[in-house]
Amino acid sequence: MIAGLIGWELYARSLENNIFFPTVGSMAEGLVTLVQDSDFWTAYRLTLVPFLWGWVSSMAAGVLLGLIAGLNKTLWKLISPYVAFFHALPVSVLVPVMVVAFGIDLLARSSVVFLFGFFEVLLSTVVGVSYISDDIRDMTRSFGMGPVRAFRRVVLPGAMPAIMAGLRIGTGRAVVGMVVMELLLVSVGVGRLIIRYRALFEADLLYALVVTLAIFGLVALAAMRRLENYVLRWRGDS
Amino acid sequence: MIEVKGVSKVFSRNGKAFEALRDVTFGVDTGRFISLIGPSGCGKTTLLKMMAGLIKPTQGVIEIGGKEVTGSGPDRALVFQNFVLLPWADVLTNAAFGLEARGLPKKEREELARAHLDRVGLGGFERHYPHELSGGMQQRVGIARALAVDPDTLLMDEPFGSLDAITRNVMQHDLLRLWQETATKTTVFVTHSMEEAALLSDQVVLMDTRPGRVSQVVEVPFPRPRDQALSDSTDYLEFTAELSHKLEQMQRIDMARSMEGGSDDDG
Amino acid sequence: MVDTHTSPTSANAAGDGSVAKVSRWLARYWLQTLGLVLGAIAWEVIGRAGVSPALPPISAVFAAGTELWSSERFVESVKTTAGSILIGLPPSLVVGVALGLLMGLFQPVEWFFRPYVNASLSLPLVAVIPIILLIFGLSRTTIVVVIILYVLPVVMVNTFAGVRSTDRDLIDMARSFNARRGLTIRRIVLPSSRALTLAGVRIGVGRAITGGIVAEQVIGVLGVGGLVQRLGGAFAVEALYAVILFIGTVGVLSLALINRIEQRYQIKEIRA
Repeated sequence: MIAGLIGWELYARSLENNIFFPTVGSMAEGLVTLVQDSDFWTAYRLTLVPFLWGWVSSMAAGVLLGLIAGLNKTLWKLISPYVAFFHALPVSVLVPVMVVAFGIDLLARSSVVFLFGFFEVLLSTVVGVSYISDDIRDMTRSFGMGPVRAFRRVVLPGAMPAIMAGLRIGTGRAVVGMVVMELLLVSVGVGRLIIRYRALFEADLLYALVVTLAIFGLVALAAMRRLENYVLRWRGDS
Repeated sequence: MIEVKGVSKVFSRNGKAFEALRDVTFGVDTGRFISLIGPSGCGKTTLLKMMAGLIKPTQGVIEIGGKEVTGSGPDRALVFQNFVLLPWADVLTNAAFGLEARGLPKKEREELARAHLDRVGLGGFERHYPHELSGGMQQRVGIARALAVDPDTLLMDEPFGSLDAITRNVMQHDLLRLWQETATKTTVFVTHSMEEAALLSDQVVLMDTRPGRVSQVVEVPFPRPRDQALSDSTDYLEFTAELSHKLEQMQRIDMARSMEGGSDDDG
Repeated sequence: MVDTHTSPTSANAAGDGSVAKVSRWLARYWLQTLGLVLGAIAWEVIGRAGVSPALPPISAVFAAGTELWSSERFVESVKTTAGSILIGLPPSLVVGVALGLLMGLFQPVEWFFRPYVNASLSLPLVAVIPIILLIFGLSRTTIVVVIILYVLPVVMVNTFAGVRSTDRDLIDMARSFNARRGLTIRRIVLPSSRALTLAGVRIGVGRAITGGIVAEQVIGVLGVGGLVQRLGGAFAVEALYAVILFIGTVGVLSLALINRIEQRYQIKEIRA
């Protein structure tokens, strides 16, 4: 990793025209500049609001629908062609649809984030639940355990690893959705900054901005991973 | 002649030392069939792998034909409990694998492999794939593979352990016949079953566990060539029963010890 | 010698007309088909009710579609996108698999590439697009570079995992027969890694399509992605849906195709 950074630095310095490959140093400077700029923080605030709405709703809806569909094989078979279609689709092409439907307000932007996260969570949850084999379900029935209890004590914990993994991956997707939303929807958030820096060829600021997006993504994923490990602590492996 | 001299093996597991074998010493005369038998954890598989050269002893030395074992070699061949065949290759390629490792060209090794597949009763199955064969047949491929390289020493690690009881019976008698009629190589055979050991071997090395060590070396009194009838004879049943009891006792003692929360380093 | 070998498919092989095949397939998947039909009906009904301008009836979509799919502008965009994918995907696959193999076989190689691969997989890769755009401008090069960046890490990681997933027992067995490293790699490691490598290729193809289209959308004028943006901007909803249907179908089909290939290999590799 360090080797890569050093290589980058050397390459960048060797270029006379530094427009496209700012040195690590100037990127770091750019980062500092950004952090001190109030525009930067406003932009992030405006971007994070739709992210949070979209993210939370996609997680909740995905798990809910996933649980229902996982338990009810008939329902799942009915909707699975659609899920498969949306899973194979590049979700970004749905953005113009959202624009037509909702304009470019908060609802539209949240829905973009939602779409990115939802299908992943749904799929993982369904798989997690349906993997609780029929054997185990028969076993709970043979002991006279009611379906609600069986769900709470057996099915849900058993599906947890898959659900948590789905939430983690779904969060990653939601972050992607947030960036896509910023890039494709004329917005007042980070996207606007991106356009500005590109137009002005402020490469170091642009890179620094992208780095902040990357950091955001990494932090979100790390947080989800922590949560996953906490919930699954009975697993006992690292 | 295989000589095991004062062999000890200590594994480090999660920072704690685990004594798998302690001061094991015995010898195997050339051309004899001996079994290593003992309760779980007695290190018999570890010992076998050391003879194969896959693991090095922490202390002590294993000599074959007077020379110290330092790694795997052309003079020994292993047969594995889980068969360990290449799932994507056909039976012939699998049987020829040891020869391929030896560097033999394709035509020669396929000829040899074919011959050995015939010997173990799999003639005609060369183009089949492992997943199409039953467990017993897959193990026959493993045996053919080992015999094909014409080793001086055959090392077998619970080869029939994964098979059902009926198949196991058939395989035991087939191996007996094969060994007596054709192979008669020095063979070290690891097993859990006293009946198996008594049927097949000239000598049985009883091992105790935690730490693994030699408890007793017993000569098997039945004359060769042996056959199916032996399994029904009273002598055999008595002999087996007595040793089985010994084995069982060792296992019970070990279980009791571990339930008392005994540590791995017994005095 | 008794022939105990019966192939499971030989029983069905004789005299199978395509009608029989289709009806067997329907019998298995009738619920899904029903779901599709119900959804289509619902779409039509809701569309006609005019609930939202964003939801035209499916009949209108197909009407606009048939007109659009044969139009030159559509064909041109598809050609552009396909072209970019064809330029970017194959080299990425080849290099990705090669690097993944090297990573799996040689520690220093793994050590060198690990940080990049990990980073590319945990970040929102989309964020990198503005930078690529900055460097290469509104051109096809940008799209190809994005595709490469999308595909490479995924293929590398999966191939690497495939190599590492080789059964330890098989390697021990080879050691016990004193096999040289080259033989072990050829006969054991490579075939053993096929399944995961192929999975990586499958994911890579999906990401090539996704990445290419997103890049096109950001640029706004090239290829199918650009088309989508323009149709959206013009509020030509029916045509927009038609294009989306097309893209989705292509995605589903290519995934299914690779799945088929994967399954063919899986039959030979029943892992106990």
